[in-house]
Amino acid sequence: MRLRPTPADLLAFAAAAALLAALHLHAWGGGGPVVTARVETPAGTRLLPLDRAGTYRVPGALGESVLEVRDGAVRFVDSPCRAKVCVRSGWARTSGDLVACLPNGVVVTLTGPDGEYDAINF
Amino acid sequence: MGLRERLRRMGVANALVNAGGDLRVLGRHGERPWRIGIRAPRGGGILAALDAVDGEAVFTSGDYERYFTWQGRRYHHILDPRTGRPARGLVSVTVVHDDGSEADAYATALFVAGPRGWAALAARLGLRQVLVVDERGRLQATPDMARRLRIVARPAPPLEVVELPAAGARTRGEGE
Repeated sequence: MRLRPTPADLLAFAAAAALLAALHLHAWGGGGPVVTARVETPAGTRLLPLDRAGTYRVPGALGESVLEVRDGAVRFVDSPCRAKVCVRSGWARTSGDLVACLPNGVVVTLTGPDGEYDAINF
Repeated sequence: MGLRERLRRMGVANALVNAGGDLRVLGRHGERPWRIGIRAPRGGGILAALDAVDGEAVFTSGDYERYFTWQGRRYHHILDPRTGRPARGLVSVTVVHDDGSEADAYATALFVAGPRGWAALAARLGLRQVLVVDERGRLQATPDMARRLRIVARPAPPLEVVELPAAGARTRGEGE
């Protein structure tokens, strides 16, 4: 028995192919630009990509600040300051966002390829 | 000498000055205006966005950056001088103004004035652009602020546009 695809079959194939393409784009593409953290310290500036989890020890004016990168965001875990405003600031994840330990001279600014925001007001 | 004049003399025509979340912009970001996101006072993320133009300062006073919680109640750093306790009713006030120091003080004053008092005080102070968020997450904005504001939080919180009562001696353009 020979099977010939009917127009309905072709339509079903086309719909499946379109759905696959859409799902692929949804899952793998256009997930927003990769945000980078620019870490300014008294000793210089370094860049941390936020797409790789990790813990970073950053030398500052008073001692070491500890930064954690996870799930596209960065935060101060510890810093040798008194008030710990930096730690309590929590996660920064949006381009334009900023967390800082001013006593230790460590300023973390988030930037994207063309960040949605140049700065976040709070 | 103000910040703006100081930068001008250094040859800086375009700048964004970020003083721990309080912002002042000069000029533009290349071919486009400076894009500002206003942080959501609860739950993180961005509440709203606006394009800031030359000379504008964007200042927010909120209860969400400096506080502690005790017995389920939030104690923040903006104290109502009439009671000596944290001011209640609003969770954030954002002011766009052409003077950063004034914007800072005025945002705090409006916060203390609360949900029923902020509009009258804004009119008296000559402010045209104010956004407030109340304890239930509802937004109120002056017409000039509402016009330029893009709400990006999802689901979008309700926004009420509040006409400012007619000001007395202080009117549009003062302080410019």
